[in-house]
Amino acid sequence: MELALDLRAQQTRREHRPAPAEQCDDGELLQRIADGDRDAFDVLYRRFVRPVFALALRRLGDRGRAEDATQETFASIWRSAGSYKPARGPGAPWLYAVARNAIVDRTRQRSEPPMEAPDEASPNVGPPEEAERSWLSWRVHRALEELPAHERPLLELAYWSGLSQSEIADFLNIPLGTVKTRTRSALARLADSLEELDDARA
Amino acid sequence: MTREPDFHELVGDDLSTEEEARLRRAHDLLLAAGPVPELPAGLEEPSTTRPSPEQLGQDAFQLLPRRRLGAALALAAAIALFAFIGGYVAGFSRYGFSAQYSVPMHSTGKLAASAKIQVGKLDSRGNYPLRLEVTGLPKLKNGAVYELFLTRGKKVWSCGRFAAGGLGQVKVRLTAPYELKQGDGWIVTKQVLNKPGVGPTLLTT
Repeated sequence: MELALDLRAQQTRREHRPAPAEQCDDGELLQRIADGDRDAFDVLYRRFVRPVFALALRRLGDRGRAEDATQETFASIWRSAGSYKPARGPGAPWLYAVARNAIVDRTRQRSEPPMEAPDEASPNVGPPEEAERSWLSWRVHRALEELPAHERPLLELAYWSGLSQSEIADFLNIPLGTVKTRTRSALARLADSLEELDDARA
Repeated sequence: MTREPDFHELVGDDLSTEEEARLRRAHDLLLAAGPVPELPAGLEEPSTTRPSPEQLGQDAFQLLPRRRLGAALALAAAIALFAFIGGYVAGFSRYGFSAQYSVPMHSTGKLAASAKIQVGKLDSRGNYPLRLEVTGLPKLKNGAVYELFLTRGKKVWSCGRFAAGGLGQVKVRLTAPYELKQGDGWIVTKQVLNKPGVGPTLLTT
């Protein structure tokens, strides 16, 4: 009887144990960060540091300023994660808005002194096409961060280093068949991830 | 300019029409997004994680733009030297407050207020002397006061109450009889006397 109670208690404890931060979606991570969870912050940082830096670099055109804006973005996330409301949508668009505001602040500093600083950051950082392109890159770069470590380099080598599948096989010293299988799998995973984000945002 | 990858070389020719369209879209988005830039060394690890209030001060310092770092260091050194000489000359050195680190605070709402907590050396009885410098908090009425709390998640530890208001900066001495490592942030709230609980947060780290 006591054993049965113990087992039940253990099971209850297991059920209430929070999932590892790596398994949380972006919104759950933000909620944990709002409660001061540093592990959640680390996971979120690793997921988003490249997309944030890429966005900042695209807008500011200077690595030093982009680095500053990236640091400010994450400091802001740490401070204001409590203002994220899951009911209003997933975490990625909220994080995009925080990053965009940090970058807008940097842009304003470059053209100081501002004649009339608005109370709220402008929702657009530039012409609509540029804003759309930035959002697109953000989603793709964010989705790339989710790929397994053995798949991501294949896409990077194929798309941005200009290597053929045979050259990638030589470069990574793996069979050509493996390169083809992993590349297709990576693209499928990327498509899933992008669809999930689109669905969540819709 | 690197060669654009051939879609069919990447995915083969044996996909269903639907799957091919899905992968084609991911392929097009990858091309449109462009490469992910290489991260600078300074961003490889998160530097804004704040494990303890002690590190809060250090992290706030790390977040300064690098180009301003040298100027900030020089300014800090000049201020420290000026404060030391000024304090000594004025004969107040025996009451001196030796700050180990400082933590900036900012407003949580539209109030144009800010503060800085300077944390002194732990004394032999377990007290951390604090010096709080506040700007922009209005004078409170009806017996309400401000209160500084050390926080971690939903836990709070009171570090003392104070009044503010009027022009200029208000400086108050407070004490934290706690191990500061147990907290990871600070807040200033508005407290109504004789009303239990933590009031609305006006400033936070």
